Amino acid sequence: MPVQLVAPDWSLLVPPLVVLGTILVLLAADLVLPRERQAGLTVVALLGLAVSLVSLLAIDWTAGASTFGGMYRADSFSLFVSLVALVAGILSILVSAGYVESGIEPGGMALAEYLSLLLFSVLGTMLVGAAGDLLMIFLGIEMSSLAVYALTAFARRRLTSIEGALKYFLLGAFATAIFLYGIAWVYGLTGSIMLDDIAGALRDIVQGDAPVEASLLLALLLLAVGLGFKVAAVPFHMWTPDAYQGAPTPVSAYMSVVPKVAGFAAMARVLVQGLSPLSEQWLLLIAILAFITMVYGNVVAIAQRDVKRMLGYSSIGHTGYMLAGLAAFTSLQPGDRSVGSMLFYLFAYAFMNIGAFGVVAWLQERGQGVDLEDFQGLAARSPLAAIAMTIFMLSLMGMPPLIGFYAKYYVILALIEAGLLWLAVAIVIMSAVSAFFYLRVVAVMYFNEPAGAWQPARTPLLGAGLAVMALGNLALGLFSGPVLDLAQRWALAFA
Amino acid sequence: MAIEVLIFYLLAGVAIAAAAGVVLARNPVHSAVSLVLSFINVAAIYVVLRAEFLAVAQIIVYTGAIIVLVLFVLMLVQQQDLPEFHGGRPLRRAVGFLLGLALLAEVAAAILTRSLRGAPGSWTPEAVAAVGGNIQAIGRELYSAYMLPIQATALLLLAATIGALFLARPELVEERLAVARRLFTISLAHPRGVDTLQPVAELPAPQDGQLKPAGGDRSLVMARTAEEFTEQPAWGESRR
Repeated sequence: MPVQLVAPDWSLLVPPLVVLGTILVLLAADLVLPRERQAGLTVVALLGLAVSLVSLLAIDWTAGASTFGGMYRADSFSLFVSLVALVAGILSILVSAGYVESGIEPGGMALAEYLSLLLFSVLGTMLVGAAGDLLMIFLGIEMSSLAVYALTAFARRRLTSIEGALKYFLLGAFATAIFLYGIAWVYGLTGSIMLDDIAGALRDIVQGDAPVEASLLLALLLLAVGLGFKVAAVPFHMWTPDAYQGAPTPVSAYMSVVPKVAGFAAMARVLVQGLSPLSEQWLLLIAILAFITMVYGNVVAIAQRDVKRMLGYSSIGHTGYMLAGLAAFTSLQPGDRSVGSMLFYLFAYAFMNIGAFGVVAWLQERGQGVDLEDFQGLAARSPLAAIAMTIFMLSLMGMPPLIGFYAKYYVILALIEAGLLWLAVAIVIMSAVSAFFYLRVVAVMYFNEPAGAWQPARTPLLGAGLAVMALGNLALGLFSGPVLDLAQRWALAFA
Repeated sequence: MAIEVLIFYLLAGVAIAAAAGVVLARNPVHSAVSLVLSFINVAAIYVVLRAEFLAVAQIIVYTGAIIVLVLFVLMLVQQQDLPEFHGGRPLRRAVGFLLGLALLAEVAAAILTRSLRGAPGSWTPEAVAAVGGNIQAIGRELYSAYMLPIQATALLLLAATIGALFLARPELVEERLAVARRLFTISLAHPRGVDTLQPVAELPAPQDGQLKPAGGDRSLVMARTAEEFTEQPAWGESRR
């Protein structure tokens, strides 16, 4: 058998390659530059991500081309995942801009390593979005979460940071093993790891009303559990609050979005593209997961005083809403809104949640803590920061005309079209419950007197980032049409 | 054919029993040794499947490198320093046990009722022999069809290395140098050093006419700071 070396189409890989090149530049600069002259690396990382974002324009994503024997797919789904990952990466770097050098974390954080690990995670997420087989999905997910395990522990002298990272790492490794076992089962049953081939084989196997084999259900269960860990769905959420609370604040901001994007992209690729013939089986599973996740996250968030922990639980709640979008899947026809609504939610979530964590980091750089008390009287001290936080809170709550409202609206629309009215009602009720803890932050900012010492600080990049996100919440909410259209093209990619 | 099946069951049985031993053994070293046994049996299964290269790689990488690493960690980490991993309340344990049993039953049901079988790949024994053996076959597959996963794995390991190096590095290098300068002001055979690491007051009083205490190991001559080093009187001077 001769070796078949087909030259891969590298032009399709330009966006991830730009990110990789930026990582290498950062690592080389770390070798050459002394530590005190490394502040410019933040700009290098931002530029790299921006160039990668622009290079998305150069590829014709509607053609659905693939290379490396179908393992890398440049289709409209991977376009949107790359878009969200890059935008969230840029916003996270803006949030982390002064924080890393500021000395908030005892012992400091190494900037070059921080940025390169963050970019590795973005790169992994882009690879998941573009994966055409289970192996690339696995590698991408691992790259995106492995870097974040290390980032969580970046405040090495703070015990909570180490604790959060250890829990995240051990449970994440456990989830990886479960996911791999699921891949092994799928491979054994269908004879392929390529998603399209799996779907084809399953279409032949699952016919009519005949009961599905137990082995297929086991494979499905293992894959769903493994990915459930990665997106922090209840009951696989145990690591989430500790990791979010313990990690340095910009890392919390980052890991609430991008590894979640990787997890949801993998879910869509595996369940919708690969296992769509089994959709009758997994739809109910995802719907139930979505329900308990949104209820648990929102109810437990009420009791939190630590704002980072509260945002951790609220992110569990939002995972529930995104899962609900996936549960609305009906068919691979272009009219189906399910995956599109989930993708749009992830996009919106990047602007809301990174913004909220950004304000926490902004306060920390002014000598404040992360408790609810530290937000007291923020409106009197800095009206702009208070307005930004208010926008983020209202958007997370789902107040029109902010982007958070439209994200929920599209999910609810998809659910109603799929006939899952009970889940749509649950989202509305849980949004009302979430108003309690989101509005409490707003109330504390506006109606309490300032307390505690205040150290003025100059954080231009963070300020710019917060402004971009606050305006993004308004503008992208009002003009959500183009982004939503882009998200709705997912069906073309999977068909 | 039958003898191969028999050997497979034997190897698989020992591998599973050894894997159970890894989890059940109280002593971590016993766990590590059980792991060796399990790995070797898996390697033997690869031989039965005629994947000799994988078998050798399994022995070298897992039984060799990884087990040595595990034993190193066991040797370096003081076991009494490890945090206590508590097993949870009895009710929680019972629920966990039942869930584990349910999962086991599910796996058993999946294995026993399985009728599906994926289509075999193109690498039949004849095809492998035609290219000259399974090393050649694996090499061809890895560096043609699986090029992208190989590169992605390399990047994954690079990310892991950077993270591990950052976390394992004791302090930033400059800080570490400063600490080293502060702490390790050593004077070997300096006339005015402290004789042991123990504080002077705790040493047994010298006998008459004897400058140094009888017995006791003479460890490294060391002072914590440069000031301490110069101010510290030579042993015995203060006693006179």
